[in-house]
Amino acid sequence: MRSTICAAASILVVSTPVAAQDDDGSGPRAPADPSPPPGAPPGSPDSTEPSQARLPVLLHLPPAQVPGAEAAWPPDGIVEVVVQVEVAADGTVLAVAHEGPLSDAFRVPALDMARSARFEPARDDTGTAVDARIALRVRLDRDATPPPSISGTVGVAGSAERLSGLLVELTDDTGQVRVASTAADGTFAFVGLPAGTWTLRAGGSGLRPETVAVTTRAGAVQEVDLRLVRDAALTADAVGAELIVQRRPSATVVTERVLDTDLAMVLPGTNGDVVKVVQSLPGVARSPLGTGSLIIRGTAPEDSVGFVDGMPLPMVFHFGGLSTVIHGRSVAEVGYVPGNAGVRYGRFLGGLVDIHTRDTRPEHPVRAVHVDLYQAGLFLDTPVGDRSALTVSGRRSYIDTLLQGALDARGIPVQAPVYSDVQARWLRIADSGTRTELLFLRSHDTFEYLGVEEGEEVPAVALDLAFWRLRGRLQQSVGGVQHELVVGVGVDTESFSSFSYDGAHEQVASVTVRDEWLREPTPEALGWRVGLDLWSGRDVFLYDIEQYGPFEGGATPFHAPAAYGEVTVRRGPLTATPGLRGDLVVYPYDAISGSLDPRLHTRWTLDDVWALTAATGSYSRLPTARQMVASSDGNPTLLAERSWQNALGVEVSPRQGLRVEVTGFANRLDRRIVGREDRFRFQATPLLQSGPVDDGPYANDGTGTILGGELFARVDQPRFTGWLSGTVSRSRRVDRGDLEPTLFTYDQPVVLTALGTWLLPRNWRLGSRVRFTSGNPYTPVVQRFQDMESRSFVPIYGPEDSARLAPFTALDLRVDKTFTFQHWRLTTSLDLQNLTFRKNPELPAWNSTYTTFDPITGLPPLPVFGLEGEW
Amino acid sequence: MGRTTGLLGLCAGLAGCEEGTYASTRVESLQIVSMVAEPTEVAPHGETELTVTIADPAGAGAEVAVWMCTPVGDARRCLEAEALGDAQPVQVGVRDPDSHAVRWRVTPLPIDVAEVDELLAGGEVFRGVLAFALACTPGVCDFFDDVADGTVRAEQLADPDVLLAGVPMAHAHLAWRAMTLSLASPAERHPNPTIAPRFPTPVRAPAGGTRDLGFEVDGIFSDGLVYPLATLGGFAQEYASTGPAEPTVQWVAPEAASGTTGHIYAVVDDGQGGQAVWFGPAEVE
Repeated sequence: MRSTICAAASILVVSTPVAAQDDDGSGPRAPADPSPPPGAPPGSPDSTEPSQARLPVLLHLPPAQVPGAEAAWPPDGIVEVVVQVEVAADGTVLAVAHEGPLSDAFRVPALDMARSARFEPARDDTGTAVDARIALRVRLDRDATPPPSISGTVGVAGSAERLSGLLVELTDDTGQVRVASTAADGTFAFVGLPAGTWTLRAGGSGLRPETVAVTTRAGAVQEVDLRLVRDAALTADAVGAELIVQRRPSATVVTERVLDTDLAMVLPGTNGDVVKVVQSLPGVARSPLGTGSLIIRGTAPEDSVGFVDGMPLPMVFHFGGLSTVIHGRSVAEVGYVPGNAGVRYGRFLGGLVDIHTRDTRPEHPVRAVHVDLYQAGLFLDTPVGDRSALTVSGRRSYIDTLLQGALDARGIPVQAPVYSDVQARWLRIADSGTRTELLFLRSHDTFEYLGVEEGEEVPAVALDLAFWRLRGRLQQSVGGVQHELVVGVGVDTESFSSFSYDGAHEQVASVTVRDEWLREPTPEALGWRVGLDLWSGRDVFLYDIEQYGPFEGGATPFHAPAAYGEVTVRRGPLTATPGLRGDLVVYPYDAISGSLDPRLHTRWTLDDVWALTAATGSYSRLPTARQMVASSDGNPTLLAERSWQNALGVEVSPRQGLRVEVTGFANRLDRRIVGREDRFRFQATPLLQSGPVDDGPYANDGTGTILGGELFARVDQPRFTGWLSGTVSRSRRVDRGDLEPTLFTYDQPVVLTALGTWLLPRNWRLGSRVRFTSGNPYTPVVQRFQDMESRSFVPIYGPEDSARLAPFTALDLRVDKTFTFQHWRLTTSLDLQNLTFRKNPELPAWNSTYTTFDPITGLPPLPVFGLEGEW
Repeated sequence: MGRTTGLLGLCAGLAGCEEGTYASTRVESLQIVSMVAEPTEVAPHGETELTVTIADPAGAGAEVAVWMCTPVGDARRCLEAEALGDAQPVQVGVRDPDSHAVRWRVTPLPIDVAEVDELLAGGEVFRGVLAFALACTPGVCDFFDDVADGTVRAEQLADPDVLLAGVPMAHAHLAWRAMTLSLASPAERHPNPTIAPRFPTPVRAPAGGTRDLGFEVDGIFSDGLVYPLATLGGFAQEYASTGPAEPTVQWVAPEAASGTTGHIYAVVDDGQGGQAVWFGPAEVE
């Protein structure tokens, strides 16, 4: 049996969906009469009959539909409507009614709202829920923000990433479209929708559109969570267009190319390694056997240097060039400067690669696992609190475990290379923009070639390379000036042994400090950069390799301070940056050497299409401890080696998506230190040496000339990125003053690379690369003689580097496909090099009697299949 | 030397250069096979018989020269020439087609060297004297004209780069070995080893076929090795140890017409300066 309790209540309606309350804040009260007396003040208690139990409690009051435009609002924009509501024992509304004169424009939405209200039912004396009747006073506010009807979030499928600034379209059955934009956290809302069926659609550049049907009804909020699949092929503005970005505002070099890692990692021939893309750019000669040595503008691998955020690294690639020493995902971008670098960089003669690590705080955790033929890797980048982030990554090669069995079975006495690296970074970004960072890097490589000595298997050649760095960095803006302070400590260790009689070991423990202040130029003011670049430590070395000269050994502290400064002047279309860098190295009690390097860079922007660039400058490399310290047979009087670099360039952008650069360069090397040759310097360089070794005393007797030109033509289309890279050059050396000029060991007169990558539907990507390179010079064997006791032959060489290996040509291919699941993504890749199976000669070699020239050829096509999961 | 070989061996090993037979066992052009001194040890000013065995696959003959050189300094000078003030003596001969060899009586150290005498007086041996042998196809090497004319220069005898400049590799071969000087009596001198085949000759195998060849060796060995060579085909081993077992090597006949003939050589080195050589005919069946 239904019992009824009469009650009255006054309700205020505000703009939020559930923000409803009694007008006096005390909750509904039981009325004596379901209708309030005329003239009673709103919200005043009308009941005189105390309830034996409890009156209905309002739980939910849906938003009111906004009255149509025909509604005649009073001047204050507020209309209050008293609605009679019968509340059932289950809390639902049985009936609603309104008495009195009122426009339907206000009465209908008020009744609809009351009809959809929900209550905690009234209860009688026994606590049983019973029907009740109350009066609700509904307040309609013309100026209040209407409540949402559809709300939700938009994110990336397979990740925690939310998409901000994305347009979400809502279409009704008549085709009328409403649009909302997602907020920073990916949320969106459509408000004040009438009941009906809607089509909700979200999409964007590089995202596969998603469409869902949503039915709205009065008072109900529909929540929608859209997850969009990334699809690079749908990128309206191809990612490749950003591969080579314009030079940075503060860059003061004729040619600096900054590589975006996202695309660089999927270019053909890279095996997913971001830094190896540099080898497809102008100015870089091809390294033998596909290794990652940087042979830039006619200089030796040891003449160029690698940096991480401006801090020097002893090596850029793991042994064999299979991979960079830093996980690709920890790299934000790679700066490549083939010549005429700014004053910030010093102590080298050639080009440089500066690896810029990620310096942003992720909004959501990003985790990735990668495996391929060579290695496996882990990556984690996660926010910590509101201002900090932690990034951890690492890799370990396992090609040794895969190949060792096969090598052993074939009797090939090689222990496959093993390498590993670890990176960890903690970053804090203060509200002021000040960044503080702590970064740890470690890398380790080993390689062995086994031989037999006295019947036992021993390492015929063994290499062990390792380094670690711990770096703190502070970046802040002080009065419009950018300040960077970097303090790093680390140890580099290099060991080499050959059988039991040749060995070398060097360990450098050092501290580096860079304190730099930079102000970008403006049309009204000069830009400038000043800095200190300090490097101190202790060098312990022992070189006992008879082939390269007498025993050398020692231990010495060293101090290598440097200071630099430059100003940038902009006058109309002309920008000029003169600068000066001074370097000094002190080996206490032994030797001191220094250099002063003036540099000038200019750029003349003619118009939006044409620009001219020119640069000239001096670059110096200071003598090493073993070259200078007298106690190890060094020469304390050595001067810094010097390279005078000159470049002239033209940049043309005839239309959007096409850019052509032509650069000529002429470099002069002098005061080159010759003597005990260190071509086999524990670099990631195969043994490309042939011919006799200069094992004479150290002296500044070497010179060299390098002439060349570079072409770089790049096309960026929505679904295609490609370029043609060409370098012509001639690099010569004179090792001693009385010797004839010879070709540089890595002289490659012509280097051509054509590369392209296509974005295909459904997250497929296809890339290809074609390469042609002149063969490297080598010193031929013209005769030989024999030791009749050891039976070994000793070669007699002809003129140094007077012969040349056959040209190298190769076709490479890469295919990528990304699968997206609800909570993670899987990217597969296949990188194939030398598809034409051409046996390219890579290194000169002869049979054991030197009667047959039998060069070592490159590897056959090796499919490198990779998998990467990200969530 | 060994270090160079070690590094270059890295290239060779990575390239898989050696397939089927070792290049060092294949004699494809004029090549000195062995240099045997009898006796192996002599005193300063003493004489020994030096036998130089030469393989001549082309059958063009060979003119051969030998000389002694005690390297000094950077090994581009000979002590003999510096003592004499002129190039040291050079002896020449012609390869005998039957014995495949040339023999001379040589004096390893014809000059007085106080340091050597002091060393020998202490009971040591001195192995710093090198015997050089140059074999050339007749008419190819101007050096023999220089010898005939008496215009040999000291640097020719000390520096192989100078001596062999312009001489084609296929028509000349320069080799050297260390001679042993001691004051030991003839009865106490280290003897040369001996080597004899334990297979019938001529050695025959079908084209592309193989034949195991065992040798009987005798002597006083220290890491003794038998080095096989062939002007016909090659060997599957670069060398065989003179250990307790009979040293055996496998000859690999070339893919040549039946009846093709050549020679096989086997040189045993006792590791202490003693050598012996055997050679015999070989034929593709």
